[in-house]
Amino acid sequence: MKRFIVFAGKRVLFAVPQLLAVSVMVFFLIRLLPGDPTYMLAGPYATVERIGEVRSSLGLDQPLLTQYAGYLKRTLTGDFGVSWRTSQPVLLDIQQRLPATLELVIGAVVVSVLIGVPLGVAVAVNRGGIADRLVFVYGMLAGSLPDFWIGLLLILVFFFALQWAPPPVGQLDFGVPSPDHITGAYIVDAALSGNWEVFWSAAGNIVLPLATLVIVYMPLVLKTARSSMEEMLDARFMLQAKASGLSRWTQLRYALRNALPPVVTVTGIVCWFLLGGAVLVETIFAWGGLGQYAVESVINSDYAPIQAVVLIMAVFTTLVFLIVDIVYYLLDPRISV
Amino acid sequence: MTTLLEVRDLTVAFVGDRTTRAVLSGVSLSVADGEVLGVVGESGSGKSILLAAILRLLQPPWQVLGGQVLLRGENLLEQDERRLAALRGKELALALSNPRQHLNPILTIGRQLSDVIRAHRPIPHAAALAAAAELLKSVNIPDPVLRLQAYPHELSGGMCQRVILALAIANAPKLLIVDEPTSGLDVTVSVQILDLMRNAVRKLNSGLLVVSRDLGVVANYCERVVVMNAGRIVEEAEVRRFFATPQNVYSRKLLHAAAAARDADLASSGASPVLLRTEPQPEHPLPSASEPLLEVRDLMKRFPVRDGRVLTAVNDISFAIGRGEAVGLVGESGSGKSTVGRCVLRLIEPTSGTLWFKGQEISKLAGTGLRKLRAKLQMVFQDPFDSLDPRQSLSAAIEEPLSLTTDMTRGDRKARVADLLQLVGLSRDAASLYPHQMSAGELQRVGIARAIATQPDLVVFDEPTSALDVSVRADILNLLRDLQQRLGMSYLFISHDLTAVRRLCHRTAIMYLGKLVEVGETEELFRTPSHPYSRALLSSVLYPDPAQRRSPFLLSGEIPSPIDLPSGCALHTRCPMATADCARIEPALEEKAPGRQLSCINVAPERSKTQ
Ligand SMILES: Nc1ncnc2c1ncn2[C@@H]1O[C@H](COP(=O)(O)OP(=O)(O)OP(=O)(O)O)[C@@H](O)[C@H]1O
Ligand code: SF4
Ligand SMILES: [Mg+2]
Repeated sequence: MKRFIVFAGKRVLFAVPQLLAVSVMVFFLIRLLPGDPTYMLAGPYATVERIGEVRSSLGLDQPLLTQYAGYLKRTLTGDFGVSWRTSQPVLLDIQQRLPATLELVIGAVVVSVLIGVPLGVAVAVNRGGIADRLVFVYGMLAGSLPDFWIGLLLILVFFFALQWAPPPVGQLDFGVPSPDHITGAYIVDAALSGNWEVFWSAAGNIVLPLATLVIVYMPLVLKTARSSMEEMLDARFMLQAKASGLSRWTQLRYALRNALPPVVTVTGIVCWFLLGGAVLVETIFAWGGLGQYAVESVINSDYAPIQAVVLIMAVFTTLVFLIVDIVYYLLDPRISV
Repeated sequence: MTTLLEVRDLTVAFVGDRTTRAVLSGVSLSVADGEVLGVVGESGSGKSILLAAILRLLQPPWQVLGGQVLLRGENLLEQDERRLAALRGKELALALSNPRQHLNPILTIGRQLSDVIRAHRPIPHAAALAAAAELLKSVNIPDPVLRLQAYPHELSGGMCQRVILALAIANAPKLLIVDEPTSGLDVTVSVQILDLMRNAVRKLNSGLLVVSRDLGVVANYCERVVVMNAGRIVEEAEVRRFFATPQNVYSRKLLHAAAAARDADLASSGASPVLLRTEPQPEHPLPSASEPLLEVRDLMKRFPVRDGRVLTAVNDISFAIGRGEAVGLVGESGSGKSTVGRCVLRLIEPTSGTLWFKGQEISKLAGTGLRKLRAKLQMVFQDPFDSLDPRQSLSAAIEEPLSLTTDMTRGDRKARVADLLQLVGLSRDAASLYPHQMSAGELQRVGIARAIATQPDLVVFDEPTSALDVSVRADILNLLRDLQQRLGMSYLFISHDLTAVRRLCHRTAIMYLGKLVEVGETEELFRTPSHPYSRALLSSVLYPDPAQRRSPFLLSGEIPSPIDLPSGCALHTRCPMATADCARIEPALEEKAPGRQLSCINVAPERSKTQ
C-alpha cells in the first residue's frame, strides 16, 4: 500500500511537467496557425497605427515569455477568451458541450472493453474456431473502413430503411426538454433525477453514434486481448501450472491476469483515438459536443475556442495515460516505483 | 521395489503440414519406488519431449503415435484431461529449469503454492498458505512467511528454483520429474538444490527422474542412467557400471567429451575414458626467479546504482602476478572477476587503489602512455563473435593492434600476421576470411592471435572457453598452455571452470563478493582448500565419475547482493563455521602458511600431506 501511494504520488507529480509542456505546445501551435489575429480584428482597411494598437491590446508586442506567462495565468483561471461566433465565453461553451462528448467517449470505451475483452479471450482459448475466423474478418474490415462511413451506413440502415433509430439530430428527440443540470451528461442526469422519458430518449439517441465508435475502435481492444491471451496461454509458466494439476479455470485465471496489462495500455490509446473519432461522428449526428464545436470553430477561424479545445484534449489524454499507468501498476507487480 | 512408472515403446513425432518426423522412437524406461533414474543426452536428443509426453503436456505439432505410459499400471495416454489434472502434481510432479520463466510473474509465490496445494486438497486458502510456508522452509528459503508475499522477480534464480521445487513436492508426489535442475545456477547453489531434491524424494520414498546434460549430476545423484541419442534410448545401465564400462559408442563419446573438458591431453590422445580420473596435472614448472610483473594494491571498484546507492564489485584486493606466471581467478558469477580484469587493463577506472606494471605505476597513465601499455597488456574475451568486427577480415583484425601500438612497416605486419596464424594453429589461408565464415573455436584462436600480436607481457583471459563446445574447449586450453610455455607470457585467467584453471594456472585466487578469500599454489589449493568458501566451491564440482562423488561441504542460502554487503566477513551469512565475531570483524587476506594466503578468522590452512 505504501509503495502504491509512493508510485501514484510520483506519477501524479510527473503529470505536472507534462501538462506544462502541453500548454507550451498549445501556445506555440496557435502562433503557428495561418492568419494573424491582429489583421482579422483590425479589419482589412486598418491603418498601421491601428494595427499597432490592436497588437499591443492583444499583448502581441510583449516578449514571448511574458505572453506565455499571461496565457498560462489566464488558462489556470479558466479564462479562455470569448468565441466571436457564439459571443459567449469559451469556458461556458465548453462546459455546455464537454459532458456530451465525454458521455460518448467513455460510453464507447466501456462498451468496447466489455465486449472486446471477453470476446478476445474466448477466441484465444478456442483458437482456430469459427469465432476466431469471424473476428479476424471483422478486424480486417473495421480497420479499413473510415468511421464517418460506418456512421452514415448505420443511419442509412437503421434510420432511413428500418426506422428503428431516431433521426440523427442530437442527443434528444424533438420536443424532449433537457434534464435538470447535474453532471451535464443527459443520460446520467435523467437517470439521477428519475426522469425516465428523457432517459429513454437520450439512450435511444446515443445508440447509433456509440455503435459507430465501438465498431471502429473496439477491434484494437479485441485484437490486443486476443493476442495477449494467446501469448500467455503459451507462456512457459503455464506449463508448470498445468503440470502441477491446476484446474482449467485456475489456468485460465493465471493467463488472464497476465494478459490484462497490455489491454489496459491499449484501452488508454483507444480513449485517445476516440477523441479524434468523436469529432467526425458528432458532426454526422449533430451531437452538439466538443468535437462538433471544434469543427465549427476551425471552419470559422474562431481561434479562442480552437486553442481551448486542443488544450482540453491534451489534458484529457494526459489524464487518461496517468490512469493507465496507475492501473497498470496495480495489475503488474514488476513495475518499479 | 515395485515399478512406479513404466514407459513402453513410446513414439512421438513432429507432424508438420507436409512432413512427419519421429522425435522419439520406441522409447522404453522404468522407475521404481524410491529410485533415482538419470536421463542424459545432448540438447536436441528428445529429453524434454519425453518429459512432456509422460505428463501428457505435448502440444501439436508434436503427437504421440504409439506406446504406453503406465503409472502404477494406469495408462496415462488413455486418460482424459480431468483425470490427468488429478494425477499431475499429486502422483507425478514436474519441476522445470529456468525457474523464473516457469513461475507466474504477477502472482505472489504464496498464492501460487496455495493454488497448487488446493488443486489437490480441499482446504481454505489460509491453511494452504500455512502449508506453503512450511514448504518454503523445507526448501531452505529463509523467512518463509515473509517470502509468501514475494513475487518471482524479487527472488534470485536459486530461490526461484527452490520455489519450483516446493511447487513440485507440494502434494507429496509419488514420482518427481526434474528437467535440468541446475541450469543457470551458481555451483554452490546448484549442489544445494540437488541435495534438497534428493532428500525430498528420500523422505517421501518417491521415484525421481532427472533429466540432465551434466554427467556430473548423473554420476553424483543417480542410481541408474539411460542415454538418449536422436530420440532413441541407446543404453541403460546401473550408474557405476555405466561410467566404468559404457557399452554404446555414443555413450562413450559423451563420457569422452565430459572427460575432455577436464583433461585435454588424454582426450586428444584418444585414451579410453575409463582411465580418466582427476589426477593432478603434470607439472609445468614456473620459470625460476619469478619477479612480480603486475602488482595490484588495494584495488576497489564501486558502481553507482539506482537510488544513489553503490554496488561494490571489487572490495579492496591486492595480489601480484610474477613474470611467466599463470594466475587463475575463480569465483561464482558476480563475484567481481571480470571487473578485476577490466581494472587491471585500465578498460574501466578503479575507484581507488594502485596498479604497478614492470615496476611502473600505471593507474594514472593516460594518452600515449596508456596506448604503449596496451601493447604489453592484452585481453581475450569470452565470446569471440563479440570482440571481432564482422566486416573486418581476420588478417585486418589481427593486424589492427600492430598498426595501433607499433611502428612496424606494412610488410612486417603482414609477415607477423602469417606467423601468428601459424602459432595459434590456423592455416595461412584463414587470413582473408571473415568472422562469420569460421567456427567459434577458430574465432577464439583469432582472438588469441590478436591479443598476442604485440608480444604482450601479460594477457588477461575472461572466460575464454565458456562460449565454446566442450570438445573445442580442450583444444583451446592446450593452445593456451603451449603458448604460455613457448612465449613466457604471464596470464591472468578468469574462469568459473575450475578444471580449466587447474590445468593451466600455477597459482589460483578464489574470489567471493569482491574479496579474495584464498590464494595459493593451484595443486595444493585444490587438494587442501582451507577457507570455508574455497571448500564449498571446490566440493561443488560434480565429477562425472560415481567413484568420486563429492564430499559435501555446503554453504547455506544464496549469494548476498553486492549492494548491501554483509558486515564483517562477507561469507558469514552462509558460512557453516561462522562465529559471532565473523559478523563484526572483517578478516584480512594474510599469509597463513608459505605461499598460502587466507582471509578467515577461524581457519588456518592445513599443510598438504603429500608434500
Ligand atoms: N558497469 C556496471 N555497472 C553496475 N554494476 C556492475 C557493472 N559491471 C559489473 N557490475 C556488477 O559488479 C559485480 C561484479 O561483476 P563482474 O562482472 O565483475 O562479475 P564476474 O565475477 O565476472 O561474474 P561472471 O562470472 O558472471 O562473469 C556484479 O554484481 C555486477 O552486477
Ligand atoms: S571469517 Fe567467519 S564467516 Fe568468514 S569464512 Fe571465516 S569462519 Fe566463515
Ligand atoms: Mg565475468
